[in-house]
Amino acid sequence: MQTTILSFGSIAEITGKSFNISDVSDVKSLKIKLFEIYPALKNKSFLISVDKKIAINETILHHSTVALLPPFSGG
Amino acid sequence: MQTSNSNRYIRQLILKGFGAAAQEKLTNSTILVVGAGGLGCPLLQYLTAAGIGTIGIADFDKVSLSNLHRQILYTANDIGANKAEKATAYLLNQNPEIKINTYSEKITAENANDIIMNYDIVIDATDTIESRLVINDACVHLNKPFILGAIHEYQGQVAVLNYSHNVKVKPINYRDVFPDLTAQAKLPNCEETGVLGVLCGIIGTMQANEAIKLITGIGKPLINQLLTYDSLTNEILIVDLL
Repeated sequence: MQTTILSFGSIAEITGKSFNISDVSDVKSLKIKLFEIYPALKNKSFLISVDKKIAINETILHHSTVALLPPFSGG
Repeated sequence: MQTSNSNRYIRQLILKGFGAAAQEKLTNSTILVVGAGGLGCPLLQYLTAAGIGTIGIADFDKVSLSNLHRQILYTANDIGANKAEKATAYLLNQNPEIKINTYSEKITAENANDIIMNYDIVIDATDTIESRLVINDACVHLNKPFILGAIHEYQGQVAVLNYSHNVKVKPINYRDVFPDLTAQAKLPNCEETGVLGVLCGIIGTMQANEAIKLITGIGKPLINQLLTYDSLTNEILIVDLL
């Protein structure tokens, strides 16, 4: 099953704005896979939302759209 | 001051769902805007024009030439002058009916509580994580709503934090949203990544809109929600933070 990921801000500079990841069942397994594919993410602060709600490690992914949202600083 | 009947506000007074009661709430409200830069300039103009009774403007920085493409309260003649003072002078001309308190010093952990305690709402228009955390922490301590605005290149964020309609729901704050952030965290600002002035205008105006909705009770403010706007595609993502 594919999970669609949307990245924002400085995270998109590492991953691109949109990509898919397959065979991840929850946020915890998604994080492991993300850090495997993009080691630079380990040093980044970002929140993960699943279907427009902030997620925790146990949040299940099922045809979900995930967003990786880092803090922005400029103003 | 006849705020409710003032011709100045007649176009918003006649709006369905707004009226004299909402205008009175604006007149009686106090808002602190921290940062009179890219976000602060547009949002201050709209809050001033809308008739917020008392506005605090905090900025220790001086106007520079590279500010002028987006910090639209200032002119070339203002270069070198303190932003909070110049913004105050401009805005009092725009609307002499409101009161403005000017803070030309930096908001720090030492003075934040003393300043923020005087306001109903705090709007974050700063450009460093360090300042944002200082303001956030004082708002949490004093139980004040905190309207976040921030920019990264062509994208912007807006959120209404540390506020809850329901006393049973613990308000969420900036440290809850990004728990692993520290004041030392190095995040790029507009100086490093660049910014189009118009995006500051959009995000700053959204912050002003959230403040007006919170005060008057109209609409649905972004309470415990993070809005991300992409100016290149006009896509908006709103994420529930609770």
